[in-house]
Amino acid sequence: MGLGEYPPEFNPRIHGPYHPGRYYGKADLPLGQVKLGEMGSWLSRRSYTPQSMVSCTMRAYWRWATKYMLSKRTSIAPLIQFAGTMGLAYYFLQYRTHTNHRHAKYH
Amino acid sequence: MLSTFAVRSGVYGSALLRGQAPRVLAVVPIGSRHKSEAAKQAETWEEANKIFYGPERDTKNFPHPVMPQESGKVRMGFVPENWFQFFYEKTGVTGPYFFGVGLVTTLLSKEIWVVDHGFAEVIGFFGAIWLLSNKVGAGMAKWLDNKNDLVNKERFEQPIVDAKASAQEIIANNEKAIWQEDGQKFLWEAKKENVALQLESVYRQRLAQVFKDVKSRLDYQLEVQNVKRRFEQTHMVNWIVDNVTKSITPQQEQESIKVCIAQLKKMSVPVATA
Repeated sequence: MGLGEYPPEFNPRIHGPYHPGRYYGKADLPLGQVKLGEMGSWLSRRSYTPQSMVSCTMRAYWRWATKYMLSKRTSIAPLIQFAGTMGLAYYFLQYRTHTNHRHAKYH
Repeated sequence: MLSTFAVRSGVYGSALLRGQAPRVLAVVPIGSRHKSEAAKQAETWEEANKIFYGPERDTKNFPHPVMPQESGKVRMGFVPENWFQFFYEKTGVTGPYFFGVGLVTTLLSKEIWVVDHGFAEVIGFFGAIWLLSNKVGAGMAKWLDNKNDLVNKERFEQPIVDAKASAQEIIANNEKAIWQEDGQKFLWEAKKENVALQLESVYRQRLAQVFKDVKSRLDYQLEVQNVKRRFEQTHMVNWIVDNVTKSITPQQEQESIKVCIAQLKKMSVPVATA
C-alpha cells in the first residue's frame, strides 16, 4: 500500500465502492465498548507504525467530513468544530506563552 | 483511425527494431472500430455493476455509502450526539453535562486553561456565532438550500432528464426508420411493377416500330412495282401512238381530213335546216 493506493484488504467485489472513512481490515472491538481491564490487551493489538497512524487520522477525518461537512444540508456544527479544534491545537502549541500568564502559583 | 495507428505503431516499432526482429503488424478486430460512445458507456456501466454488485458483495457489513441529507446530530451547536449516548448508558442524562462542566472547572481551576488576554476572544467568537446563527442562520440556511437545490437540479437532475429525453427521441427516430424500412418492401414491389410496365410499353413500342418499318418497306416495294407498271404502260402507249402517228402519210391525212369535213358538212345541214 503506497501513497494514493487502496489498502491491501480492500476488495471492491466484497466491499463495494471505496469509502475513505472505512476500515477494511479485520474489525476489533470499538474503543467505547472496551472494558478498562481489557484495555492493555486491546492496545497491544493496535498497530503503531507511522503509516497506520496516518491512515487512521485520514479515516477519522473522512468519517467526520462525510458525517458533518459533506452532507446535503450542512449545519454550522462542522464550522464550530473546526474552529474549536484549531483554537485548541494552537492553544497547546503556544502553551508556554499562556502558562506565563497564570494568576496563581499553587493550585 | 485505429487502423492507421496500428499500422503506424507497427512502422515505428519496426523502425526501432530494424535488423533485429521481424516486422510485426498489429491486427485490430473490426468490431472494436465502430463502437459508439453510448455502447462503450453501457459496457463500462455493466462492468462496474458486476464489480460493485456481484454475488460476493457484502452489503450487511459494508453498506453502500450514501450522502447524508443533514449534518450529524449535535447538541449545543457542536458536541456530537453520540458522545452523549456514550455517557447516557453509564451516567444517565445529566452525566455528560456534569462531565463537561467538571472538565471546564478543572481546567480553569488548575489553570491549564489560563484566563489570559486571549480568553475574551473565545467568548467573543462563540458569542458572535451564537448570535449570528440565531439571527441570520435560518434565512441563510434557506438561501443556501435553495441555491443548493438549484445547482443540483441544473447540474444533476436536468441533465439526466435531458439525456433520457434525447435517448427517447433517438429510439423513436430509429423505430420510425425501422417502420419506414418495412415500407421499402412495398416500394420495391411497386418499383418492380413499374419497371415491368415500362419494359412492356417499350416492347410494344418496338413491336409497333417493327410493324411500321416492315409495312413501309412493303409499301415501298408495292409503289416501286406500281410505278414500273405505270411507266411501262405509258411508255407502251406512247410508243404505239408515236409509231401509228409516224405511219400516217400526208396523203392519208388529207384524205381523212376531207372525209371529216364531208362528214361535218353532212351533219351540219340537218342542223341548219332543223
